[in-house]
Amino acid sequence: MKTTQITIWIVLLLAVFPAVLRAQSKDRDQFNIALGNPGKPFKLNMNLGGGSVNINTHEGSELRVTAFPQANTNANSGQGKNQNVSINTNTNVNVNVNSGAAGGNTNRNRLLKVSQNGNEIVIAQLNKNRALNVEVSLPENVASQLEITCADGPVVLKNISGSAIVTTVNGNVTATFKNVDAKAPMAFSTLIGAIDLSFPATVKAKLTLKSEEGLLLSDFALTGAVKSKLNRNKNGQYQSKLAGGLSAQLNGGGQEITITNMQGNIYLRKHK
Amino acid sequence: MSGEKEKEELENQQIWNLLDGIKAPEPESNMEMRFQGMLDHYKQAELDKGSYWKDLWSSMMLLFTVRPQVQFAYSLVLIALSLSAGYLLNKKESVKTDQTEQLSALATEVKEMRKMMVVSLLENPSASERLRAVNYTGEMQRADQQVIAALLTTLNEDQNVNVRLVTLDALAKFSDQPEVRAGLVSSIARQDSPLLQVAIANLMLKLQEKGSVASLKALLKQQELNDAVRTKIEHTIDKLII
Repeated sequence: MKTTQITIWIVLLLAVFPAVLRAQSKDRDQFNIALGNPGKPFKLNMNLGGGSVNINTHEGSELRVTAFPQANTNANSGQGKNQNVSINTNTNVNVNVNSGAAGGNTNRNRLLKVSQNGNEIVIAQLNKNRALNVEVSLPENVASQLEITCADGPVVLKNISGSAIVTTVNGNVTATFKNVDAKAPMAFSTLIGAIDLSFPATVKAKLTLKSEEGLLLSDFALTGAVKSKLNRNKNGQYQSKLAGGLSAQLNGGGQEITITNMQGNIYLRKHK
Repeated sequence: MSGEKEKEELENQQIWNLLDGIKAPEPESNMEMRFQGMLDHYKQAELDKGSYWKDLWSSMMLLFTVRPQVQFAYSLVLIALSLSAGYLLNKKESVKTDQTEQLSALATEVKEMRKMMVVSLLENPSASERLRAVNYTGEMQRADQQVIAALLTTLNEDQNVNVRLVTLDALAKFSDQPEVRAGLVSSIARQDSPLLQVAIANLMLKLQEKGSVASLKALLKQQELNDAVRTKIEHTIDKLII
């Protein structure tokens, strides 16, 4: 008697499971973008309405993009089942989209809009009122110039080669650089949230640090105006209250890196 | 003629006769002694003089041999003197040569080029390049109308928040120029990013720009204003009004 009940439950669950999967996949953008010149430096510009941004790397040569709405927002029950994004190709470049056909259909479900010109890619959110989690996996060890504007929520960059300009409002900005483009200026900002940056130990930069209430915690022995204000804390890190702006040099100075927040600490770490 | 000559000879003869009549005095017996005394006296005087210089010399030698630090000080004085002499000579020579004129011309040219670079880079589609352009203005002592206009346009219209933040800092450096202040105040109403709103409120407080109060109050009327920003701006207005 009991076993039959269990079997019925299992059968029911199995029957429902694909539907659950389908319901999820309906509201999900997943596609790859092939670079016009694979292996060559590229630019990625993302302009998002809020939610979260996660960027990491993989061994392939294309960009892998996944986007899905945040769970607690009102789910949009679109009618179509094609999850393709609209693609505006300015020139004759090849854009691979995994799901469905590209083109100007009137699918309300699509989340992102991609335009590409060779190695310059722009990803924008179509409906800025929805909170999206966007994940992009970049080709590893290929220099990239990232420009990320997020209206709200945390931004995480991992294992990046190149440079980044990142801004968000409520949420931490975390970025780990494997290699830094010594010639590109960088900037990181958030209103309320920590800014946590990891660089190779040899990185050279001229820093401008601005925070109203945050602390600066650095693995690097900074020089310049900040030096007299630094104390060593028990973890061996250099620490200073910011309360306004400070300028500092990293390994003698180099390209400008501007870090701005209102509330939240600023961390400078040596990438291990 | 011949009579005249004869007369002259006669006169000479008379003088010679007269001279013959004068008796030559005998040398005094003590003359030799007196001469010898004078000579001895002179010799002694000369000897005294020589020993004075010798004494001076030897005392000076004593001075140096006894105290090597004096020797050292003396050489230092010599070095300082020669250095300052060399410096003065050199300075006179290098004033206003062609090279300095060329250098200043070059500097002006570089300034002009930097200005053109800033203005054109600010229109670059890449935020990285625009950031670079704004950073270049940090090396300018003073910005001319063209650069200020370009920076204010960037502050009001640039799509990237980070570029606008850095631009605000750049303009703050030129805030003693009245057109910059006016531009900053009128920019308040155009900032929709919370980060920019906070940064510009901070700058107004730092500059004690009371002319910004009306614009800041207008920001408070916006429904969608971030709560943290609202508190910040209220504080700023309070401090500006006092």
